[in-house]
Amino acid sequence: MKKLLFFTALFLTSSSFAFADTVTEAYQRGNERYQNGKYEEAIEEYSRVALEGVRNSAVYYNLGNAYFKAKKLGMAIASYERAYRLKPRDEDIKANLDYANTFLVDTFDDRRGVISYLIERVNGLYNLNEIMVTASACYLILIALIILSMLLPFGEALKRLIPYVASLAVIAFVLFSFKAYDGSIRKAIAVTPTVEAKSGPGDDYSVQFVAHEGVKLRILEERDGWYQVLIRGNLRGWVKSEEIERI
Amino acid sequence: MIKTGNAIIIFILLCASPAFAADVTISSSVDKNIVSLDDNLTYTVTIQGSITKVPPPKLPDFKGFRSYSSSRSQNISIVNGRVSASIKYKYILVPNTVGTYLIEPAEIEIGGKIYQTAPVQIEVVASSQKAAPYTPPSITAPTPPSTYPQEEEEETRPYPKDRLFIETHVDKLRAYANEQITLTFGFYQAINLYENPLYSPPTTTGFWSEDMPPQKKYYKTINGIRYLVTEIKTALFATSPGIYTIGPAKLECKAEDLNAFFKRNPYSIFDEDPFSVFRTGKPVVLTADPIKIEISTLPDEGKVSEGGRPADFKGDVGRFDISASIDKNRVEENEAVTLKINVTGDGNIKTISEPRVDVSTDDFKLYDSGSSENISKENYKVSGEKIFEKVLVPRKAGKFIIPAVSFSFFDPRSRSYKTVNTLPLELSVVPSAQKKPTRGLSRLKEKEAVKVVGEDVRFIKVSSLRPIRDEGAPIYKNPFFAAINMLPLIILPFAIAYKRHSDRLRADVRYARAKYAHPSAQRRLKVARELARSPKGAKKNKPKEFCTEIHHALTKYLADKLNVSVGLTIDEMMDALRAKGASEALADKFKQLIEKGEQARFAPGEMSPDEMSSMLKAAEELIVELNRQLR
Repeated sequence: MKKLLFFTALFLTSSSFAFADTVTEAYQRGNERYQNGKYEEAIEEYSRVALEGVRNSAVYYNLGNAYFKAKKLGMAIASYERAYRLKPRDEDIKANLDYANTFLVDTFDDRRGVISYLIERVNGLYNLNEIMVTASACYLILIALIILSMLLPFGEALKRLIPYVASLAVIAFVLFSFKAYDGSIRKAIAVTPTVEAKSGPGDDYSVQFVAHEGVKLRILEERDGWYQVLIRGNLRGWVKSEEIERI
Repeated sequence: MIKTGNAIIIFILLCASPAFAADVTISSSVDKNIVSLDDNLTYTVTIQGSITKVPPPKLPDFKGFRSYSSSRSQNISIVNGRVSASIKYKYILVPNTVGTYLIEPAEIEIGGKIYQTAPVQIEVVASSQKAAPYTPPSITAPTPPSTYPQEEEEETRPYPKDRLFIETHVDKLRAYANEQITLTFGFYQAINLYENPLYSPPTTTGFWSEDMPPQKKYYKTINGIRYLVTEIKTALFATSPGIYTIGPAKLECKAEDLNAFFKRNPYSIFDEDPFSVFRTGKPVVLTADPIKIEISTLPDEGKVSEGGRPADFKGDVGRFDISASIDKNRVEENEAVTLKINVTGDGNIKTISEPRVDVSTDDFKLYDSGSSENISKENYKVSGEKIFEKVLVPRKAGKFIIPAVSFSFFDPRSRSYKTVNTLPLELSVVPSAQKKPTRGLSRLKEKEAVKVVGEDVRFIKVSSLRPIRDEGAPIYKNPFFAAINMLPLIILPFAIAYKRHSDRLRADVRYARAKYAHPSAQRRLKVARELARSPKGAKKNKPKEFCTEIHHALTKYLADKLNVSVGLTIDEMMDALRAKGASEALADKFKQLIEKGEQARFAPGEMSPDEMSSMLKAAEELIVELNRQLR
């Protein structure tokens, strides 16, 4: 069993190195193009990395910059959002995302409550994997404490630690579930200069509202190339799938 | 104080920009790689880089083509003091002969460095059907291919002495500086040519010149002779007053030699290749007369109100209009507004000077953001638009009027100066959401060293130390992570079972004895086995001790298992066994073995090794069986 795991590990790491090379090269080529001011070509190179299925915060961040320089605000924001999701504590990503958001045409009155604001702030402290590892570590330590306190002769001393570790584990699981819930919400960014939201999934329906490039939408439903979206001010409507970029 | 500081920063940035000249790229492209003889193609040279002044590129000699400059468009933008320009030069290439040609690289020299484009390969194919002049169909009157329009009007003039001539003429002989003069070059042919002719345009020193494609072809009858006319037009703009000469234009070609044809023996046509005469042409060099042009000075006397020269006149001649717009009407303090000034009209678009924007520097910071031009040459008239962009950053809140921007030019048609104005624009500035420094701090403001001139995204991440790896893979999909989290599910039941077992051992004597019955019986049997296998042989073996061990193993095992005292009689033991669920056969076996052991213990005598081992084996089997059957 041990051997099998070892070989699986070896296989996984070696295969990831093989494609890491081409991906790193594409990333470096993209950087070169960007520094030469060839933003369109830089976009192409960075996108190649994403096409390989590699989700990397530095690549998304640079891609966002290239889109921004190529005056594609929507795609830039979408890329920054992806980078932010992977590395929420990165200063640069946050700064550029905030900066790009100042170019938005639409404004919304932010009528969120304190709790949802707090949850959003707390969610911005870690990514999904980090909180998952933390929660899992708390849980493993708790189990180990329970077992050791049962079996060891000085188990009574360890038993006193259990409530503390248990409450830590509960907190970690609550935070994890917030993050997991946030991750389960399908979000998108408008990428065309104007997005017309219709009352139904088709061109013939009447226009409900018009949003502009870069605005963040929540996807509720998908039907025949149309998405039903929700905008922060509780506006609902159907938009064409090519007008938005899912993040 | 602050203002001069800003000016210095901007000045330094502008001066520093040539240092960025290393960023220049030059590329060339064509709209098609295969072109037929009667068609033409567009060759574009694009120069991009952080440069303000770009010299025109050094073009290759387009071998196999005639070239005409068609247009030039440029885009200059300044962001954070970094200048980036993109300039496109377009040329129309007209093929001369069929074949494959390589357009050599175009070059540009900036800051002592030479940049080159890649060469381009072009294939010229014969036109599908068109009447190419070098396929001789007839001799005296070339059958009109009728692809060109027929100009009906018939002229009678002393001309032509010849069936092949060129002429140049201009639309006016007197003009003002910077007024468009159209130079027309005409090539008249009534006989066939063997090759496409080579045209050397006239020298036009003292003028800005602008090629005016496309060339025009039509038929014209002069003195009863039908000519195919090819016209090439060039727009000229004089740079300053004076008298200039447009040099003679020249054209080299190979014409069919009619004299040679007629001089031939008319009968020889039968014994010679009748078409051989068409394959050799007579080289002809045609020249046109030079033209003198007088460029007069613009009137500068008289009051402005009476049509005199306005104060802001900067030499633009033609007919222009001006408009201005801002990208937003309502901004926050310190938020940038882009002011676009659009000058459109007929005239030399490239030299249009920048109109002055009169905003108070107390109210606004004003930055240049570049200019771009679009030139059209429709109807052989240079027209288009030039757009100037300015960035205004309001310093304080309030309602502001960006005053009308005026632009003055000289209209040659009415021979008067004209001034056009934009409409004034209104801009409301709201206080910025950011907190203003309090009054008490205002003195510190003077000492500010770092000033945010403009904002931009932060630079890309270029660290190449670590390879790019996938950071988005959810960790729960990692087999190790999953395995580690599964571990407690496996370990915990075992740990709990072990815990319960050890607790019982400590608290429950019956449980402990029953648990330890089997191991202690095994221990005794092991001692018995040692005794039976005594190396000293059967004679000195100790049957007594052996049997005692066997006996104790069995009785003690039973006592432990049933949690009773050791000193029971055989019958008591049998009852206990039956009560605990042992079968009758097993109970009998137990009884036999106990009795056999007792015999041997109390009736001294020898025991053979075989007897001993069979007894040992029976005892072992019995204990195994008891262990299985007893509850």
